[in-house]
Amino acid sequence: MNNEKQHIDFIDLIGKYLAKEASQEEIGMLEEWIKKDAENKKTFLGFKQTWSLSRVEQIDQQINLNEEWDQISSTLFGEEEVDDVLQSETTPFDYNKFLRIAAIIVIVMTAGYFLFYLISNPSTEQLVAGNSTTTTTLPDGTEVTLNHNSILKYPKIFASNIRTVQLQGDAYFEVAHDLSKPFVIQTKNIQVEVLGTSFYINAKVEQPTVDVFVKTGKVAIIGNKKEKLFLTAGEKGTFDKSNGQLTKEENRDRNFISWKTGQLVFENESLVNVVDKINQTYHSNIMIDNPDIYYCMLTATFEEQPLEIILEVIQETFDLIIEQKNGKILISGNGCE
Amino acid sequence: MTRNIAYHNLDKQLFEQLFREYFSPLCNFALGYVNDLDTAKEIVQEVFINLWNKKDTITSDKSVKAYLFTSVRNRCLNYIRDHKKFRSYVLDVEIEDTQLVVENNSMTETETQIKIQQAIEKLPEKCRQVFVLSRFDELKYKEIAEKLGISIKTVEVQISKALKILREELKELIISILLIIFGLL
Repeated sequence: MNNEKQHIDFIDLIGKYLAKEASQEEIGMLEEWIKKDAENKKTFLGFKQTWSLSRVEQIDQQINLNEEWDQISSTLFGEEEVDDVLQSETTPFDYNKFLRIAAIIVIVMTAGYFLFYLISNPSTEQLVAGNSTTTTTLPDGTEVTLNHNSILKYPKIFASNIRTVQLQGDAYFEVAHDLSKPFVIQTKNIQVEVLGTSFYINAKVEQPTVDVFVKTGKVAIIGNKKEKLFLTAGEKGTFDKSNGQLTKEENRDRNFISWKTGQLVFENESLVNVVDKINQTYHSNIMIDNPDIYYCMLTATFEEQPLEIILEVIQETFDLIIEQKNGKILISGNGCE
Repeated sequence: MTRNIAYHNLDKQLFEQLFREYFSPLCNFALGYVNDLDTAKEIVQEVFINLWNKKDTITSDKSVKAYLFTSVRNRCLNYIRDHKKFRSYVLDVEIEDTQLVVENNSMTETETQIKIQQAIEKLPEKCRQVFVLSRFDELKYKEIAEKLGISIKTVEVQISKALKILREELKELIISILLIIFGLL
């Protein structure tokens, strides 16, 4: 017990030493303690490394790697480059080479400027949808509807050759047509490139996939290996986060933008799927209490109806019991024919 | 990829790759010995220059990574010894008289950074506040105490608490990046 107490005090001391707070006397105590036992020495070194490691990121930000690399490469390889210059001085002036180099410089500078512009551009707008959906019109006329818990970042003024926005979460886009300026949506995993079209992109972080549902027009998804997958109206593209694969299929989900339109169409759909879709659309918390009624099959169309009405219809159709319990809606019953 | 290359096979491209991957971690490592970043950067530059110039004559069965870390440590120790830049000879120099073993772990430097960042974020609120003020903002205990309206003793306790939690969280990094061997251990 006493020993343990002592131990703890020394760790305070190690902390003080590392933070440069220890007095000469305390340093002396620490030296004694370390000499006493190899185990103490190990403890000290472990904390010293922890202290050192904890600042890795901060140090990283203070270091300009390109500058450091330039410095070492001019020390080590500088002579070779000087040689090149000397050689070219002795050969006749090569106008074509000059033009090529000039062109490269212009390209690099332009690219650098754009990069700088993109990084430093402070005039970025941020649209945040918390517990409601939000619709906005971007500077180019594109209409975006953000679903709950989603964020869209876009510039106040789009660049002259491209329209780039960043999305976290899921949103529906009706992109204003402009052939000269592709519209690019960047998400954490993929990019979606379009000219003018409407589609829904679901890039919620908690999902194992990123899904793109195209309503009209044509869309390209760009995966993390820069490969492109083209989608046309009625198709659904999927990016699998676990293996980076891009695939497409016919979109069979008629309700993919119900959260926006409020329209729900069910055609011989199981109650378990119906409830799932209603929960997504209304951000409700409906649960089925009895597995026997999972596969009651529903055919119905709802047009922006309040949740209560939809629940009433389900209750009447299958003769079920629906009750509210601590923020949840429970559906139970005896099963259906 | 850059992990187990033979020294004489080191070409300019691989060298640049190594430099870009390890320059910052090595500077940080050097800062465990020397006090200012400029000295640390200088030492790491020297080590890389030395690696390039001697690549044909280095006969080490250590990985390049291990070579880099060991060289940086040795140069740092020489520096603090020669410039008398130690607060305690025992704690800063003598204690390092142990064999340094650098293991190749599978984590990239970015993953390592993320892991460290997450560990710091996971510290209890008060503890993190105190630790960050001391470690990143380099405030004195007294200044931290005044700023947060707590006693100096509390600052002391919070710092050692942070260190204990971080050491536990970063255990595998400490072991796999820098394993210090005592005798048979």
